[in-house]
Amino acid sequence: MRMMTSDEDLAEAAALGDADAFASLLERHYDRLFKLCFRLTGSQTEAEDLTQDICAALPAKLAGYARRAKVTTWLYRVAVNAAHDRRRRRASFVKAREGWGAWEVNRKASIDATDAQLNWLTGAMNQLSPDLRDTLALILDDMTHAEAAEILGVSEGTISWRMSEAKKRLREIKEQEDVA
Amino acid sequence: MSNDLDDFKTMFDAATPQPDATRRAENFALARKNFEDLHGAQARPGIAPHMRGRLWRGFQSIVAGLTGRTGLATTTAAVAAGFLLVTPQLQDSVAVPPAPQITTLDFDGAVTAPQIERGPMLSDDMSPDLLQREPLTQPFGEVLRGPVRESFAPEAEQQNDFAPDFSNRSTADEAMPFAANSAESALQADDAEVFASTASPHASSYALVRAALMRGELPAPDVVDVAEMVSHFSAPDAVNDANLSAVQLIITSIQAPWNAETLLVHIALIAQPKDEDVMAGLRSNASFAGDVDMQITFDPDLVTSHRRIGDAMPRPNEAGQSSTAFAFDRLDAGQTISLLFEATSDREKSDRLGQITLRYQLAGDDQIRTTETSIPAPPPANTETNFAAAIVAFAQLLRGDDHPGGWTYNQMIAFAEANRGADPFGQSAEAVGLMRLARELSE
Repeated sequence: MRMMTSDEDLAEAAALGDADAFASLLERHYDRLFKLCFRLTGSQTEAEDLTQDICAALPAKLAGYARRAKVTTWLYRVAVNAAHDRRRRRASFVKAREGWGAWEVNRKASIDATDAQLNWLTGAMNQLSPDLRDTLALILDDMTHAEAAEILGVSEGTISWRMSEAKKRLREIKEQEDVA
Repeated sequence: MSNDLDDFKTMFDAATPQPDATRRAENFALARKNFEDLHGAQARPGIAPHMRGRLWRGFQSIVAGLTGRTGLATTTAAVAAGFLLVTPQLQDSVAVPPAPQITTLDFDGAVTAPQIERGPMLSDDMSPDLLQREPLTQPFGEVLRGPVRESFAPEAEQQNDFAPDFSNRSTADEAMPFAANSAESALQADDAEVFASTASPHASSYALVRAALMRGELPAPDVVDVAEMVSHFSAPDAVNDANLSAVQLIITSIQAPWNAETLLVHIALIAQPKDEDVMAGLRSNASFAGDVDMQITFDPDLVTSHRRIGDAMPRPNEAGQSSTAFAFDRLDAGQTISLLFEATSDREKSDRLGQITLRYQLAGDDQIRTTETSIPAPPPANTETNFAAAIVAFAQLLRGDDHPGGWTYNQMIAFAEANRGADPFGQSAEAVGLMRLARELSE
C-alpha cells in the first residue's frame, strides 16, 4: 500500500505525526541519501555520521516541509545544509574543513583494482573548492542544474558556471598529470 | 550531464560504498526516537516500555531498527567483543565474523532475557589441531576485543581502579608512559559515555586515533598507545579454551624492518573468562583477577638492551637490570593490557630471548597461579610483521616520539603500502588511509 503512496503524501503525513509514514519515507530514501552524503564528504565514516545528523534532524525539519517542493529536492537541501553545518562545526580545523576524502578508509579490498582511479579521484576532488565539490556531487547524482540550484540556494546560472569551472579544473589536473 | 563527466561519474559510482547496515539501523532508531519526542510516543509499536530504560538504550537503538539477522550479528558482536579470538584459519573459512551473540529480542518483537548463542568461534567447533597449535609460533590473527567495561561502567571514576600500580617498578622514568596511560583512561571514560549512547563500545586507542583523523585532527599524543595500536594489527592468538578461566599471556616478536638487530616484542595480557562468566562479568563489571604481577626478563646473553616503547632511554641488560616488573591491582573480564618493547639482539643465538613470569589470583579463588612463558625469537619478516612494524612507526610519529628507524611519513606509507598483504577485510588499506590523512595534517 505504502509503496503506492507518493513521497509528497508520505512527507505530509509524517509532518502531521504519522510514524509509519515517516518510517516508510526514511526507508525509501535512506540509501540514496547516504550515497549523496558520501559524494559530499568522500569518506564512508563521514557519510555515516552525516546521515546520522540528517536522521536526527529530519523529524523537526519535516514539520516545516511545504508541499511545493519535491521531497527528493527538499531532502537533498537538508543534506547539503547538514554537510555545511558539519564543516562549520569544525571550522577550527582548517585542513579538515577544506579536505575531502580518505577514500581508503572503510574501502573494501574487493575494489583494489580501481586504486589508481580512486587515488586520482581523491586528489582531483581535493583540488576543487567546496562549492564546486558540492555542485559536482549533486550533478553526478543526476540532479538537473535547476534542481541543484534549488538545493544549493543559488541561481541556475551559478550552477552552470560552477560546472564549467569544475570540468575545466578536472581537465587541467588531467593534463598536468599527463605531462608529468 | 555532458560526456566529459562520464568517466568521472563512473569512477564515483565505483567508489561509492553501500551504507553500513548497523549504522543504518542505529540511524533509523535515532530518527524514530526524535520523531517520537516530537510527536509523542504513541505512534511506535513493538518496543516494550520497560526497554526504554537507560541501560537498555544501546540495545534498544539496535533492536528497534533491525532489518535482518546480519545486522544483529554485527551489532551484538560489538557488544560481546572482548571474549573472542579469531584465528587466521577461521578468517579464511568463515565469512561473517563469528561471535558469541547476545540476543535480546526475538524477531516477533517479544523481549527475552539476554542469552548467549555459541558462535562457530568457541572451542567445540575448533579442530583439535587448532587448539593444540603453539600460539607463540603463529602470532598473527585478528582479535576482536574492546573495553566492554567502559561502556557499562556507570561512573567514570571507576576507571581509576585500573590505573596500574607503580610500586614494583624499578626506575622513575618508567612511570611516564604509564602516567600517560592513566590520563588516557580518564579521557576514554569521557568518550565512552558518548560511545555507549551510540551502542559502540569499542573505544580503543586505534578507534580514537581513527576518529580524530577522520575529524581532520591529529590525535592528542596521549591518546596514542603504541602497543594497543599495534595489537590491532599483530593481534595475538590465544588458546581459547572456553572452559578455562585464566589470565592469558600472549607474546609476539617481530623483526623490525629498520634495523636487522632490532626486535619488537609485543606482550598482551588477556583476562579470559569462561563462557558462563561472560554475562556475569558484563552485568556486574566484576573484577576478574587481582594482584597481577608480571616480570619480564630479557636474557642478558641474548639481548644487549631493551626498552619499553615510550620510555626515553634504552636500558642495558646488565646483571640485575634485565628485568622489568609490572603490577596490576585488578583485571576485569575481557580486559587486555598491551605492552611493547624494543630489544637489540643477535637473535641467531637462540630461538628465545628471555621469559615472562606471571603471577595472579582469580577473583574468588585463594590459589596464587604462576605461569612462565618464553619470549620467542621473531619469525622471518613477512608482510604481516612488516605491516605491524609500520603501525609501530605510525603510532610513534603520531606521538611525536623519536622513531628508531628515523622514518618519515612518506617512507612509512610506502613501506606499509608494500606490505598490506591479502587484507581480506580492508583493515590494512584503512590504516594506510589514516597514515595519509595524518601526513597531510602534519604538513
